[in-house]
Amino acid sequence: MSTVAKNVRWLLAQWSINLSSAMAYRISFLTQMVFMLVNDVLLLFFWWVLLQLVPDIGGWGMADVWLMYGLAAGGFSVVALLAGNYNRLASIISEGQLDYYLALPKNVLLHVLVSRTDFAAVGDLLFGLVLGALGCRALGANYLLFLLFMATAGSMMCAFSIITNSLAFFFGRSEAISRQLAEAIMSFSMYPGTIYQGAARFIVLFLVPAGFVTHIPVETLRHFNSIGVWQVLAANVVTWVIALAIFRAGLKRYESGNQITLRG
Amino acid sequence: MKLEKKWRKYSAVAKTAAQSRLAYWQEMGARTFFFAIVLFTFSGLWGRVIGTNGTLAGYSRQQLVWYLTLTEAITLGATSLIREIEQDVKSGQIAYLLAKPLNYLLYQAAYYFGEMAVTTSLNLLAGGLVAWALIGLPAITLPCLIQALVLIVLGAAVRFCLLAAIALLSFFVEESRPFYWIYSKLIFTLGGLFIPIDLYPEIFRRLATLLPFQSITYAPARAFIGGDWQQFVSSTGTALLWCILLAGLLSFEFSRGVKQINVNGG
Amino acid sequence: MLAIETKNLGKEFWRQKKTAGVLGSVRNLYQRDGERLVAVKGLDLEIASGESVAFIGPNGAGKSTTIKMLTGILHPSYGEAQVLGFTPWQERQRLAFHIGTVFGQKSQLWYHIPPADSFFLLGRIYEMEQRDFVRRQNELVELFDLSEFFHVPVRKLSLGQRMRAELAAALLHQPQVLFLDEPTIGLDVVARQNMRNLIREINALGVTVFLTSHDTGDIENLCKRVIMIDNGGIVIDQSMNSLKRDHLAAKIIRVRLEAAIDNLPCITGAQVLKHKGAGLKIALDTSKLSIDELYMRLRELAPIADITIGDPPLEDIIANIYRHNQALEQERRELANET
Repeated sequence: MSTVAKNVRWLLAQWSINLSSAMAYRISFLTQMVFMLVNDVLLLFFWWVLLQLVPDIGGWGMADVWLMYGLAAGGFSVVALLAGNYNRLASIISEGQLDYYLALPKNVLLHVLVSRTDFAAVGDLLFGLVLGALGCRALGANYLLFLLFMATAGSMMCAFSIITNSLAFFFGRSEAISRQLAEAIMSFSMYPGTIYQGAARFIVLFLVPAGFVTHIPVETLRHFNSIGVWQVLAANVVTWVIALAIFRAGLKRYESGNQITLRG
Repeated sequence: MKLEKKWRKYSAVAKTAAQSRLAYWQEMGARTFFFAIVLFTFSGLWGRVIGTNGTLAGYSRQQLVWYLTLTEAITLGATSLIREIEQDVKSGQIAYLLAKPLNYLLYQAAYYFGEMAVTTSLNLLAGGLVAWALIGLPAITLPCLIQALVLIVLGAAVRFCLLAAIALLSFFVEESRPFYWIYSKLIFTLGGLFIPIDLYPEIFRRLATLLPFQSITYAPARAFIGGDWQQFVSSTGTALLWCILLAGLLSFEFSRGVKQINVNGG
Repeated sequence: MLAIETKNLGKEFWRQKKTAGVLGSVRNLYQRDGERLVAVKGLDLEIASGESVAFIGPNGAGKSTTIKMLTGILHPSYGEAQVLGFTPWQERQRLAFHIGTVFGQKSQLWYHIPPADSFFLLGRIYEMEQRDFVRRQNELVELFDLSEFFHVPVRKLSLGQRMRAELAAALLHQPQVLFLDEPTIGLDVVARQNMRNLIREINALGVTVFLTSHDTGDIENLCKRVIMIDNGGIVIDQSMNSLKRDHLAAKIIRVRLEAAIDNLPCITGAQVLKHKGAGLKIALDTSKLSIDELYMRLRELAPIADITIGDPPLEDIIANIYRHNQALEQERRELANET
């Protein structure tokens, strides 16, 4: 069997184990899913009210808001389902739980990320897919592009989160700050790109790259141009390169821990 | 004097709560960071929608940013109230606390106000500085300031009654968290967290005005960015009415809950 | 063939001095005042394939740090190490296919699901063929007697059952070296015996066993060789038998005489630990006085009704070595301070 096939088999096993582990809390998982869905819908309330008062927000109308939320929720669900530990890395590092993964013959970062699945995100996934369809107004080529951008959105969130969570390698217990920083990209992603001007635009493109999560994708979906697609893909590559480099540098400084821990 | 002794007792509780809150500085830092992001984003949003000199249904950009500064400072005011009460109820600790010369609800109220005093003022300070840097100081008049302060305190009382009522539900149901979650969503929508409720479509506006959620966030923030006395009187009236209603409900719930302990206690 | 080999392997940690409060932590961000902690210093180890080695030392001696370096979890500060021909921290993944680990305080098994599911996942992680996996799993279930609870969620197992499953899980991929860090911690007497028997069996099958434990019973029952470290360096490295011989110059002798005696004569080399009526407990230094001589001296007092001659427990021996070593360290430090 090839290495790729072996790894695919492993990942499938990993996700199915995650599922059986999550099933131990079946009820709470269902209620959580419903709650997250309602939460998503309520967030739209604000934009609905605002767009009753003004015709558009710097050119963004309700359809754009749908696309934006679709990408944010869909992207989040992709990473929460496939790499559910993406925003728990900091505590895993500072509590010395990496030991477990380091003793096993797999890439540590990948292994940690996929060892948890947030199944409540199924609600967000559905929400994202429906909003995408509403925003695209048709299930054609545009929708395929939407799906691609959903994947890149998740990938950006994951890579950015790895960067902020890796701070724990260097500064010890910093979970609260790491998590808040990682959520900043989510916060910025949920507002129209056009409201960030000047220095703010620089921030959302290069410091907390939410611009590549929703802003540029939404505009590319509205007026297709291949440059937008390339920009998003390039930003993904760059963010991942930085994330992997920082994680690798951190791993060399990893100090392990002595807590008693149980596997999820 | 008896009343004075009581006051001393509960103000000591409040002071302890305030001091212990200060220890959570890392959490506070993270929250301030989040707060700054929200303000930063909204000053951009309102700048885009309204422009520097325009208005939206009578509100300027500056007013709307400062409105948000107040509502967020209030909702981000952290309290461990729900967690504390829930723990007391679930662990049965509450039975022992009842044996002490304290009124449990007053004790929790004192603790809550102590915590809120610290977190809300720190949030107001931090948020105020961020808003000031982003958009400048609004034209604050002394009456506005007084009105806002009074309404913040009244709103905090309404909030206490709601939160305590939710936490005490753990006498009767397994999980009280979902109710808290619903509460926070109602604050977000009917409390007018992001925009003043008078900008809402008519039905929502009417509904929101009648409910207690706007007393917590909308009323004080609206007064701060320039309310009139008439509005202040009606806001105060609504808040007081809800306080009395909810406090009655709370003590009823509490007495029912306590009976439940005796039954379970065997 | 050597299973484990290290040359001058060392690890130092930088522990930052934490200043309390808000201002303190702001200061910590730019001010890097702290202290260097030496966890392991210049360790030279050679362990042959198939050996069973106890790696012991007081808390904080550097045992866990060493194991973590040998398994690739931690990078060393300096020095070299080869485990089965791999440099652990450089070839971690490849090495991991050939070693097994049981950390008594950390679980390999998922808490909410049965061992069977965790085994399935581990089978995939170790890239085992389905056929081999099933065969090996059945073998282990039988050897470790897991069948009764193999499909019960781990959270419902007793600690003894869980540890048996942990050990079996660590052996799924047929490792050549087994690292055990406190494998019997928290277990009751029966479960502990059970674990020890299993570990002995595994070692008999040719698996190198590298064990740390504070339980002298584990060490005595499982290992033929003892390596003791303290303050990050090796203090003792010898076979269990010679360790006992060297440090068992003392014997513990319990005597019951026919008649009670009041006064004991002073006998050089024999220290009376306890004396009550006709009963005596004596620590004998055999380099100064032979057992035979002591027997004669005692007979002069009164006829002997009963006598037992025993070794002091391993625990005492180890405690003695620790104390001795700490005293030496203290002296060395004082000398260093004077100069």
